[in-house]
Amino acid sequence: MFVFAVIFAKISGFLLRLLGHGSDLPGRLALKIYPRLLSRFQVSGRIIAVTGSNGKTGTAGMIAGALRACGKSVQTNPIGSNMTGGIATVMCRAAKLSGKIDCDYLVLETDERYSRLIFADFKPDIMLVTNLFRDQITRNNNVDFIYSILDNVITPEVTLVANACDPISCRVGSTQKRVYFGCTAPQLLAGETGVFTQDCKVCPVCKHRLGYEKYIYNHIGVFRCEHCGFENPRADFVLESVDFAAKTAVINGNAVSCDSATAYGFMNLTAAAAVCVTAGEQPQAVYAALSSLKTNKTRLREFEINGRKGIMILSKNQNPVSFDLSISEVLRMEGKKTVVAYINNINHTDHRDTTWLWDIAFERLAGRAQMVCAGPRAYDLAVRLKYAGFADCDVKIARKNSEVKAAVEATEGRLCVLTELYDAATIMEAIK
Amino acid sequence: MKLLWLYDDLLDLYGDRGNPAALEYRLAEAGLEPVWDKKSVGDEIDFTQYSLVYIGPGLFSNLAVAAADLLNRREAVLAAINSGTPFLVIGNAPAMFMEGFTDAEGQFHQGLGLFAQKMSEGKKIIIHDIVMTEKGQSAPLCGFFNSTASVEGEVEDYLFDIKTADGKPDLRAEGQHINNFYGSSLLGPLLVRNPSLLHRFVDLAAGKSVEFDDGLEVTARDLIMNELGGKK
Repeated sequence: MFVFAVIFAKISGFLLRLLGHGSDLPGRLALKIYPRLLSRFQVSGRIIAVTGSNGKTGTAGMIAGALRACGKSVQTNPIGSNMTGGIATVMCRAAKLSGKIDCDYLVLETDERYSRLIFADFKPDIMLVTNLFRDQITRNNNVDFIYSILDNVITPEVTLVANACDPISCRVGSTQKRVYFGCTAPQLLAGETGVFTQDCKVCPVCKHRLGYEKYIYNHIGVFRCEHCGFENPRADFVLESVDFAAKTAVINGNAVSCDSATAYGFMNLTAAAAVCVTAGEQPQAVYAALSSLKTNKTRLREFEINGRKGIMILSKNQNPVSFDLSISEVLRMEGKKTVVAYINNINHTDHRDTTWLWDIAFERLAGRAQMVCAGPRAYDLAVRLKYAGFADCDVKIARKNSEVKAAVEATEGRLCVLTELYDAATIMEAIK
Repeated sequence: MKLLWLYDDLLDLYGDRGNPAALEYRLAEAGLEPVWDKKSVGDEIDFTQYSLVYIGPGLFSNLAVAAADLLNRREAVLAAINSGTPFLVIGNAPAMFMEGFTDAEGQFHQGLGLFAQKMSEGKKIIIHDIVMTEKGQSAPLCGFFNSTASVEGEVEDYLFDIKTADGKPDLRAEGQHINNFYGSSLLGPLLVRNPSLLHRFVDLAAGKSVEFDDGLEVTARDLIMNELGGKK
């Protein structure tokens, strides 16, 4: 049945790819045919898993790209297909009928909640946890819930690469094999962030209030508990400085170019370097390889409509930290601007939840941008903006798609479209 | 006007800050100059100074720490509730006012015992959009439930009659209400989504009736109500 499941996934995957689909379904069906499918593959190279709340896709892409640029053969899952079906699909596609996967590296972006299922029958050699935040309430419940899942997955045989600036995820797992990436770049460290979502106000060890000397964003920063001494672990890979304009960074004394010159982009770059070097690649080759990469720009796309310039900044759905980072990008732009935000119901459950809007610091935009509230929950966003201090004249409401174009035309400045991936096409069509 | 946000560091999840934010906005608009005092474990607290007490939801691991601290303040807290100080306690925080709660590891944490109920943390996430009314009333309200916790025991002093919960017929009553103590398992900006509740708590904190324009909130609420089948 294993061979049949692999053949079925290969053929169905090929046919679905012709239609522009097929990154998840073939694997899901193969798992129905042979539930222990994932236990039967033998990977000749090393398996690298990339998980966490934010930054998985970008960092996994950097790792795979850098390893390829180092001359290694790499198999990886396409963007977004990071649940059990997606992992099964890529492994079936890469495998011979015997189950053997010949490659130097298998790089798997894995959904944090599904990690327990994905790694029930096999373990990665290296697992990168980018960070942990409150995220998609209807899927992930809370940070403790996800932490406990990853804690069970990261067993002693796994080498953990973790974020030394994240007081939550830096502690995860029972493995002693730990490599940390961190940041001392003064350009990224600030005394205040201006945001509300802070998932680690208390020390995760003793529960006393955790002190922060500096923040990078949200609860990512330089921390120390005065009660029990819990503090940032020593980082092996240190982001020492960044230059946003030049799109460069210095990691462990090495200059590296970074196509994604944002706070999280630079942190992802450092994480990718840590993973590639930990996997055994030569540091100089890794830094050169990372410098040569062009970032996948699907989450940051410039456009022009009717002579008006704009940029689309995609956020992870119902993820306030992701949205906060998008707002930070808007605030870095000069001149007048209008933010068009499309707010939908919860896409995978259709619940009317709007709690996450209250975790986003829209206050930072009040008086600095006009807003167009679009989508089924446009009025909920408008209410949120009212309490954030927006003047009525700076907020347009266009709940129906047919109302969006006129609302946008009544505003000024560069357009900044903030939405999630699934609604990107809808809002762009409505603006035209 | 002093308002108390208790355990803001330990208990802070998923948009619950919308409740204190809305109260502050409306009380400030009325010229009452509200100031939130944020207090936590071990801090000195004189409950008689406060016009309202707010406690939000949190991780169960943090709730256990908060519950132990609250137990040390049992007499002062119960005196405040008995004297009519308004309390808004949401998410899993009402467990601290029940007999107690059992965490996912099976450890029981004692509560104040104000309500003959117990909460248990489970493994399965339960999610509902909810349409409800206040006990014995007819005006519909909306809420959102998203938790791994369940409550054992029914109390006469419950807060909401559940009308619909994604078609789940087993949910009938929810929350706790005694004097001006209001507890609910519902999450997020409950007051913003239900302007009538916001009016209630603004009035309770102010000690008088406060008028404000809630037209935008009502429109947002009505749209959700219509979609959930709970006509306004």
